[in-house]
Amino acid sequence: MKKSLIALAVAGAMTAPMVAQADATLYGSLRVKMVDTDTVDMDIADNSSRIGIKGSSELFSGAKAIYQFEQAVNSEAGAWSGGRLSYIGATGDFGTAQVGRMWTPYALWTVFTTDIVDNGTSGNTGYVIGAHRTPETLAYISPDMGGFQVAAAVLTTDTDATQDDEVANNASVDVAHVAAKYAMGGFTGAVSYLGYDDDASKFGGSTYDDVTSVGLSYSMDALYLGARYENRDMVAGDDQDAWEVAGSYTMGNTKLLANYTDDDANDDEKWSVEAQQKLGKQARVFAAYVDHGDDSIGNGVELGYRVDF
Amino acid sequence: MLTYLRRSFLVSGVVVAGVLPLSVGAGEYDPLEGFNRSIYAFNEKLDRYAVKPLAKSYRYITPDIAETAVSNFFDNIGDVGSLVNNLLQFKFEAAGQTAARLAFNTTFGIGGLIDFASYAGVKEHPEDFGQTLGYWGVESGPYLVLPFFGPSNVRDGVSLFVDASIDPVGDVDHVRTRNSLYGLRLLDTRSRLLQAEQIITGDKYSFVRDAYMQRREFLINDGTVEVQYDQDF
Repeated sequence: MKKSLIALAVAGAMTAPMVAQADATLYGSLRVKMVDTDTVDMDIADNSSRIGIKGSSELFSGAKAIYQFEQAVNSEAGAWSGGRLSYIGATGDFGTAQVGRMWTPYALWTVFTTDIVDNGTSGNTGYVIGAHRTPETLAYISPDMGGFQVAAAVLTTDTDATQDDEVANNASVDVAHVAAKYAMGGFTGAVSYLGYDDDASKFGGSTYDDVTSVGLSYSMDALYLGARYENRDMVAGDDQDAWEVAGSYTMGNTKLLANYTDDDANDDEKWSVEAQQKLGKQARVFAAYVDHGDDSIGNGVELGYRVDF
Repeated sequence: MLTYLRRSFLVSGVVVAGVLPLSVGAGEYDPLEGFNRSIYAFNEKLDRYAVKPLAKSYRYITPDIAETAVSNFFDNIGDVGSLVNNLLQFKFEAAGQTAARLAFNTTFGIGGLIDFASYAGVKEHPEDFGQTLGYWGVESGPYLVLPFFGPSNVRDGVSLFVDASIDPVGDVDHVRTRNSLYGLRLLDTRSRLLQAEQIITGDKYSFVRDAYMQRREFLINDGTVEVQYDQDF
């Protein structure tokens, strides 16, 4: 009798936290790299570490409520380093609607096609305008309709002070955002449009009239190829064009990657070659040669290690 | 260069030699036997009185961890040639893994002293130019013993020039450093063979010859050996 009581107590102790955990996942990725280039001498630096919580719960209608909260972590300072994601939403057969601070369809469908290397040159053209992760955003992403998906979003920022650089780039700009994606076989193509409100100028923070981006990718077995084009219609001055191509080849736990970017926003082209090696399911290292052209960073080597959890 | 040949022929040549029936008439691929035997005798003397004692002392003096580091260092340098030759054989996956090995061992492995890539599970794919020629169908030609360099054949002997031109040690401008590296590599390779050579029995010359020729064939076919084990019994 006593035995089974203990067994019950043990079982109870085991299940109780399971229930509580069922819908919230604590996750993170700590990433450190060492950079040694013409101008940077053996700098051990953070490489976009983050820690977050995410999860979902059932709604009465059968759809799901979703949430995600993710903080940047500076592994150099050993401290929180600002917000990355903070949104809530609902997802179901109607698609996904979410509000808060999130990855925009612009990032999900075009920036990430070429943002595939672990070194500092990655996805360079996609982070220039600062619309990859935006606060105060309301977005709708349609369900997959035979490979076809559309998305619409409004990026609203008010005059509230924010500590975040990314947001500061876009301070107080209202943006209308539409995007579409089509995937068939190993091929994926996406178009994104960001239209900046005229009123934006009155806040003095507007640089762009509109930004149009195209992302294409193709994957076949171990090979992945991605390309990205972006045209930025500037409020003042000439349009900016940006090109980026990236590719990878996977051999078991080893991956070789390369990328090339040519952006009018930068003086020079940038490129890199990189080798990644998975050391386990949740740990990997990379070694890369990076060429930032003649800008302040120069050419050199980046080595990094990351552990996910 | 000497180092590669000697290492490759003995270390796994011996393994193959134990498996393959040595039935091929030696005359077929060793028409120069008389010449070869005299060079062989010269090499043997050189080895017995100079190289081998040096290798033994090296092995005795040096801590194991340092020996391993030295071997790793030269293996990493050898991966440069392997990368080029894998590409020349259109073995792109092997070339990719070799490139990854070079990237990781040169950086995380501190200039190649630690074989980080092997710990992480990236396989080695050693290839030299002789293998590249063999892969594209160039026959080995007669067996040839080269002074200093040891067992070879006409194809592989000529290929040594190409291998030497790819070898990064040859690009070291500082002459004393370069020669020290050559010397150290010789010691490293010879000391790695000290144990393997104990297996040799019978006529050493023909043992080494058969082992070498079969080992090369084995390497060129990437380890696939076409042998019908029943035919000799």
